[in-house]
Amino acid sequence: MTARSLVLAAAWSAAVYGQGMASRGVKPAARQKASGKPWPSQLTNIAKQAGLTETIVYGAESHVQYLAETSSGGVALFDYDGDGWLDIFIVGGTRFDGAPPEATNRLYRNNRDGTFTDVTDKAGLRRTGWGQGVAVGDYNNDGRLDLFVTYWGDNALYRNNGDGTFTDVAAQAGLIPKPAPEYPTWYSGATFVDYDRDGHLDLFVATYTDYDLRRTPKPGANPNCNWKGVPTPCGPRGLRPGRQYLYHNRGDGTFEDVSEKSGIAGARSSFGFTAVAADFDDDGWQDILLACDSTPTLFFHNNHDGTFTEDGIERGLALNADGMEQAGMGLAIGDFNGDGILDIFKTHFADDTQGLYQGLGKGQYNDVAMKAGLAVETRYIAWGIGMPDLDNDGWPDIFYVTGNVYPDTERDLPAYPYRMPPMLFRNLGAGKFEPLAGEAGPALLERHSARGVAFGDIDNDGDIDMVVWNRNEPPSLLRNDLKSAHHWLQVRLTGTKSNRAAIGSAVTVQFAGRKQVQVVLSQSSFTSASDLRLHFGLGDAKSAELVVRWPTGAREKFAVPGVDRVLSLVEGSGTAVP
Amino acid sequence: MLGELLVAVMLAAVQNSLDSGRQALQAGDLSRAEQLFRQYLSENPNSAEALSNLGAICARREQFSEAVAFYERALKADPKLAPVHFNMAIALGQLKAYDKAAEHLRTFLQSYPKEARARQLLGLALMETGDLRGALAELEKSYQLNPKDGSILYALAQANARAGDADRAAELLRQSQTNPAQGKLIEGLIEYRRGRFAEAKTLFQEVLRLNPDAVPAITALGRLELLDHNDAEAIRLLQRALQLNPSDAESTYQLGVLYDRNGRPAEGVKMLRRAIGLRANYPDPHYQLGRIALDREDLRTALAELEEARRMLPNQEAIRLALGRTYQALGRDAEAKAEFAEVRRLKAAVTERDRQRVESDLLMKP
Repeated sequence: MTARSLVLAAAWSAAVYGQGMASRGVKPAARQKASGKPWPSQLTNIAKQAGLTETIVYGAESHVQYLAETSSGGVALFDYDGDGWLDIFIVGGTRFDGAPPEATNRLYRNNRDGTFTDVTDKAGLRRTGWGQGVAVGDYNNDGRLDLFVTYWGDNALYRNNGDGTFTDVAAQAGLIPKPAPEYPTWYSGATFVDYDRDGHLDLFVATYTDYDLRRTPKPGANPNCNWKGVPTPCGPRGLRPGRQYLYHNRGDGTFEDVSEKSGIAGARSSFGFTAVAADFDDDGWQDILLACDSTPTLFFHNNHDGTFTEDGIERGLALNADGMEQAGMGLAIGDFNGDGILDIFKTHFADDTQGLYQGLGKGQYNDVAMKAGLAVETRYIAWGIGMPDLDNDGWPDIFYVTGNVYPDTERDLPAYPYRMPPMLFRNLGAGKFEPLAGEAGPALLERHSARGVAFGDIDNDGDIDMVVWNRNEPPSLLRNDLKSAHHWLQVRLTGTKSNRAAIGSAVTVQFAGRKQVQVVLSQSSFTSASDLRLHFGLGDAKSAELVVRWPTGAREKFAVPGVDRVLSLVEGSGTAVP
Repeated sequence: MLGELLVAVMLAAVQNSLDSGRQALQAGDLSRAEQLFRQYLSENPNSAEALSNLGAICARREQFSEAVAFYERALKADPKLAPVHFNMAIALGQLKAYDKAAEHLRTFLQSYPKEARARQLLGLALMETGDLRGALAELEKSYQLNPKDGSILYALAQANARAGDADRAAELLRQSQTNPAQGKLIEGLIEYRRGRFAEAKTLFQEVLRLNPDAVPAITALGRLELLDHNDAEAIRLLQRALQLNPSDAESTYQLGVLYDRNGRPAEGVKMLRRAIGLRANYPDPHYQLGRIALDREDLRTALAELEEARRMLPNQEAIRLALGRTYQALGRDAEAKAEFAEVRRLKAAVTERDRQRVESDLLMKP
């Protein structure tokens, strides 16, 4: 009896506690020999000279007590005043020991000369709180882009009044749950999505956790409050996962909570972060993908009848090949191999590979990150992500930002510094990538604790720039200076039967015997929103053809009158107009 | 007269089979013991003792589901057999059915309230179910009953550490310094299981300084190097462990994994199969063989290995996921769907268990 019991005692004491974030202890794969091909794009942080100088206040600068102080990052690039130039919205935070005056969301208007003006107060967007993410859409189809901003607390729906101001109409629109949840909800990702194809944008809102400070242990209090033996804020493991929400747009400026009857509320065991809506299985109906931290990623498949089925595991998206959940942070949607099928890139925690999920068709996916050469870097905690074609060669590259969650652990864990560099992987074609650093410009050598990143052509010069959310620092504005003869095309879509902002539309461009698909996304990266205009690098091609699959499910071809320009595609017109 | 004699002889033979079965079991001859108990059972189908012993044989073979089935039959035949409740709890614990294990241990303790080991196991089961307060109470009682037992002491120390009472935990650990190597080994194992790998590594290295041939420390270090992807060092350590103990199934298995992922697939498969031969009912090598076969699109082998792994460890989500993918590849959609549903359920249970633990910890606070 004694020997057996001793064995059993050892077995039972094998606690299944995990660390705060899922981490697989994966070391980088060996790097292949560099291709030696010249890289024509240079990224430079011009935030200071552009006037983006205000610090993004978010939680304590050191001695962080709670996870809520560490994970935000929403940033949007959108044209709020319709002048054809991208403006910048940045989600702000606060501090437990009192918010400094600069703690607020910020709206920067593009001055069209490489500089920006802070118009936060004029626009009515000042709010101090635990802001999280942002989604862009035109929920009332008035031709003006609105913002949905999530909080640890009540969310905000900022209706664009068309005169340079916004009004928070979340309560009157029915987007504040009643009765109030038992514990304060930490909302995270959100995306506008027309899931029932009625031409009105509905809204999916993700929850990270029901987060109550009174029920949250202090750093080091238990094994969920340690990272590599160093006390850290507790969570997400051990916290209470929240529910996800779906709101149906009635078309009159109000929404109905359909979370329960749609089946969305049934998935209650994951810590949601970034939400993306697209027609992943190409059946003409919008699905929803939610990156989840330390728990299985959720994929809500649209059943075409107002309901969804969560089947991320079946599609190869929820877990890694060993059946382990990963710390899903950000999501990028693109077509890295030019097969016309949507692929997915998902960022993870340190000591883990990122996930490059190759679309196999019919909504099935296979993680090919290792094969693609992306596993050569596992040191950094990765957040916001995109697949921009930075050199316009027709092959989408991969760019993501990184940053440690915990400002204080680098004293004990110098291999995991608080500030980390962004990562750029050049697409070599044939499904392979190679990492670039200083050769892609000085911005690649800067270190920040970054979260969100939004992509768009800020200076309208035909290449993709970026704005980056940095914790307790001013944002970065990465200008892309591209010296290349490659051609490009940008398309701005307008729905007529579909929602006016054309959110969820998939555009396939065919050029030089190749093709590439992109989607108009309300949210992606890390709880952020990129330009709704889609940018396609065309390589040496001087002509192309466009096919749009509108969110109504209809397909429409557009002839391209010329390249190196922005084209307007209006649903039903069949003609692309410069 | 002859008939009565024959019956008496037969009865004696049957009784002898029970006694002989006990002797064979004590001698470790499980096959012989099983044969004898089954023989006795054929004549006495409700013999609680025979059923209980068959359960014990299954448990020794690590066939815990089968053991539970025998114990259930034994308890149906005689619900008052307290030791069967204890054995049942052990088997249930191995199957991670901690709630049910706790129930059986409580029943056992009604008859044997001063059995320190049962109280310790009840404490550990309660820890697993998230009842930290109950766990601490049982472990303290267990410690009072047998303060010299190292494993009880460590369990109590761990529970105190979990409850945030690091001083009490340290005090308990200090009491155990009679055998420094063993103490450090257990401390290392605790750190390892907490995911504090650097601390665990230091402790295992200290054990090896005290005893260079300590196989558990060599194996544990090898496993840490494997997790850290220092494959060459992991292979060196595990080969050393196997030199010292060639029948070490765990090191054999881990070497199989290492060989496979280091471009030596044939040797890897060979080691994995050897590990199966060394330890009956060892799910890990079956799972790895299944994964390897699935990657090679050898679906028939994958199916066989993964179904075997699932039989042994039904609550392991990695096995269920790989099996689901195999069914999916074979077009057996209904079975694939069932496996994926099980993965989903298991993952949700882990999240919920973590949450309950934290809430339990919080309730301990004033």
